[in-house]
Amino acid sequence: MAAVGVVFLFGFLFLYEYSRVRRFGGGAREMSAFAGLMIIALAFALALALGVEMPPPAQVLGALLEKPARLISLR
Amino acid sequence: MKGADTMEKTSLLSLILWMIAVRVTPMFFSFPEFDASAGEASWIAVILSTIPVTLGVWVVLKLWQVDPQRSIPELIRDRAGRVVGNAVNLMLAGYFMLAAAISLWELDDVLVTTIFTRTPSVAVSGAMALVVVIAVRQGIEVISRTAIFLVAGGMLSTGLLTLIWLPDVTLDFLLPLFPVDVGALISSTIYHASLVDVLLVFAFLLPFTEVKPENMRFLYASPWIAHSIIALAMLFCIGVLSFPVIDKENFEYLALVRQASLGTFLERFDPLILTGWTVLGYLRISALFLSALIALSTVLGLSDYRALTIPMGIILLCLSLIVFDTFPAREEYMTGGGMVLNLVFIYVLPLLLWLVLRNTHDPAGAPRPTAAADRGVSASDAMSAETNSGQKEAGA
Repeated sequence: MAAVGVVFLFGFLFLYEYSRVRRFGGGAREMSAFAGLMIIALAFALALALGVEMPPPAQVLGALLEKPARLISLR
Repeated sequence: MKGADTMEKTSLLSLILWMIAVRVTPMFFSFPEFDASAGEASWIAVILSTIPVTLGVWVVLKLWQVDPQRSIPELIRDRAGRVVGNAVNLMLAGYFMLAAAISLWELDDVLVTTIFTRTPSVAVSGAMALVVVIAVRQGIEVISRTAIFLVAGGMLSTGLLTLIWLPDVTLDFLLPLFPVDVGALISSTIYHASLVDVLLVFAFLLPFTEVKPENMRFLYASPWIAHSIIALAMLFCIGVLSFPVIDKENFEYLALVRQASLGTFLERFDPLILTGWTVLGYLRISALFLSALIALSTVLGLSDYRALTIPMGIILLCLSLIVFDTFPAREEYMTGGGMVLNLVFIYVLPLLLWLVLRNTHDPAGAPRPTAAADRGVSASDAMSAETNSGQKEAGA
């Protein structure tokens, strides 16, 4: 149900912003960048709505840099 | 994105106030300065960290002076080459998005824990993300203009509140003033220096600011002002509640505010204060989000970042919902890998960029900002004009 809501919301937002970008002279580059990012955003939002497990990005990044952090010996 | 020479220009005062708000705001939510290993002496480390931060300001100004008319991402792309430049700009966009998501998460965490206890995070964060997206679509100049009133109001109200706590300060809680553990003080100084992500935002927004050479010294003053405010707030927290008590709190400044009351006139004003702090949170998230958009629109070769605001706003919201599992995970990140990441992006990268880019010349045929602006003026100005005319109509 949540996923259907997300898709509808994205559809509305896409139409609104698409017509706006077109109306104010946005070129093909603007259109494709906007559409591409909307697809990424939709995939991200759908994954969250469907409860797909995703690793916390900051924690993953933090773990990668843990060794140099120890050199500063804060902890 | 428009070229810096024709894009709306913000005043130096509003930019400085905005940047002070960006630096100071986290202390109202998670108060990361209290996570330092120096413990109750961390306020000294905050003051000491202003020295490397001032050096960082110097580097950022040098980088900006390589080509004051051009935004930093444009400068990187045009001088470092398209492939390397785009890779660096993409990293910068990712860094700013992560920083904005962390700020949004922190804001959501404090609000959901204290006021909106039955409201889901997606609603609270979503409301703030919506405000940020709308503000960013209005442009840099509009946000910086609102910063003058919001920061002045925030500082004034918090400053007046400080007077209420003055009689409650116990000097014994603050002693000994100078710590014995110099090692902890040094590592804490480095940690505090890593919290100044505003330095990079500053570099991004300087080309959109009217700066006269004689006013450059004020730019060096802003970290000292911001760090004095933070150190003073830490002193008050420790002086009133004692360090062992404040160390157990997740929201240290809020714990202090909850101690205050004006008799029967106003017994609890933490919700009131939190509302004001939420507004400051908007200034911080907007600055970081705007910087991410500027970097990304340069990578994509767009003349205006506004077309990206809605999808990137949604990505920001989604990112903020999963950025940390728990509150302790945030602390672990900020004092661990996050600190290293911040140090690299805030100090190492601008220094490297300045050293490399100052000796390079514009390749023949590189798009000048005026050309980029000419392409972008129609779309972005028309969108801004429509927004303004809509507001006028609404006003009428």
